[in-house]
Amino acid sequence: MNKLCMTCATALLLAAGGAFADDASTVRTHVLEVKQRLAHLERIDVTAEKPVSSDAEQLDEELLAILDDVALIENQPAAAESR
Amino acid sequence: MGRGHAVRAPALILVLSLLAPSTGEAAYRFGDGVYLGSASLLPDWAETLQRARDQHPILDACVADAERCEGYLRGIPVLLQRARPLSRERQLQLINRYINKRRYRGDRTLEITSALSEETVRLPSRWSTLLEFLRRGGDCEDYATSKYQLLRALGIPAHDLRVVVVFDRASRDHHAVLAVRQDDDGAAWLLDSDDRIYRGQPFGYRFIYALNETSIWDHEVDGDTVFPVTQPQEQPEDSS
Repeated sequence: MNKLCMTCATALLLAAGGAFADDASTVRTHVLEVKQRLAHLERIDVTAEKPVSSDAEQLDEELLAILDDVALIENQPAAAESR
Repeated sequence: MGRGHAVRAPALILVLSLLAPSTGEAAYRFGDGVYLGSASLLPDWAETLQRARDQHPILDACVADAERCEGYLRGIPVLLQRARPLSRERQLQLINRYINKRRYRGDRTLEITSALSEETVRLPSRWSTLLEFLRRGGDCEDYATSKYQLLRALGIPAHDLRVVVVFDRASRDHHAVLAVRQDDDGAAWLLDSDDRIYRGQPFGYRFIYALNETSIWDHEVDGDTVFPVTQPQEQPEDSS
């Protein structure tokens, strides 16, 4: 009886091991595909320079005023720097 | 998936990539991309995100007290303060135009020649953080990432923002724009470095991939058959 139990247990372990091995190889395949794709994406050189489009919408006066105020501050010497 | 399928999968990727151009005239939608994985899978992007996190205290200190701003950051507290009460559409218009006024600098592509093969390899330029871009300028993906960071500072959540890398059919060049989700159906506006904001109309871009601070999406391949990876459920987040 004990021998029969041991044999069954061994057979179960082998079957389970085989199942896990198959799953592992499948997962590895997917990871490799994603890695290849990511490596390709990372090699893409993204450097286009685009001039301002004549189709760009006009900003209203409030937004233009904000941009002007910000530019004014950025172009002023800082208080700390001017001391 | 059987072994035969596994062997055929790379070929399938290639075929799908070649077929992909037909999808380019559609407007960008957040639901269209195939989830590829965590943002950490692109090392250069992950490093940029980490630098942005490291630089966050500098930006926070500047916004809290303008006297503590370094010269190149002096305008940011005023910009954010004046932008906060605006509607989202006007915030997008303002931030798009503010960043587009900055200096284009496309000199960070490296060409490395192998001593053995004499083959020259052109390495793509490095992503910049908002602070790095404001300090020294940058190229198109840096415009997009800087808009991303400013809109995050204005409270737009990460799951509503993506930097999208595209192929511009007109210039035959790769380009980057910022996509901002407009509704629950995934409709998006694209903020371009030429001052335009695309509100769903076709514009000659073929979408290649997109990323934000959490994830990467592929727009060229059919992920249902090639990449059986499940995207994690997006969690509500602190939008600050």
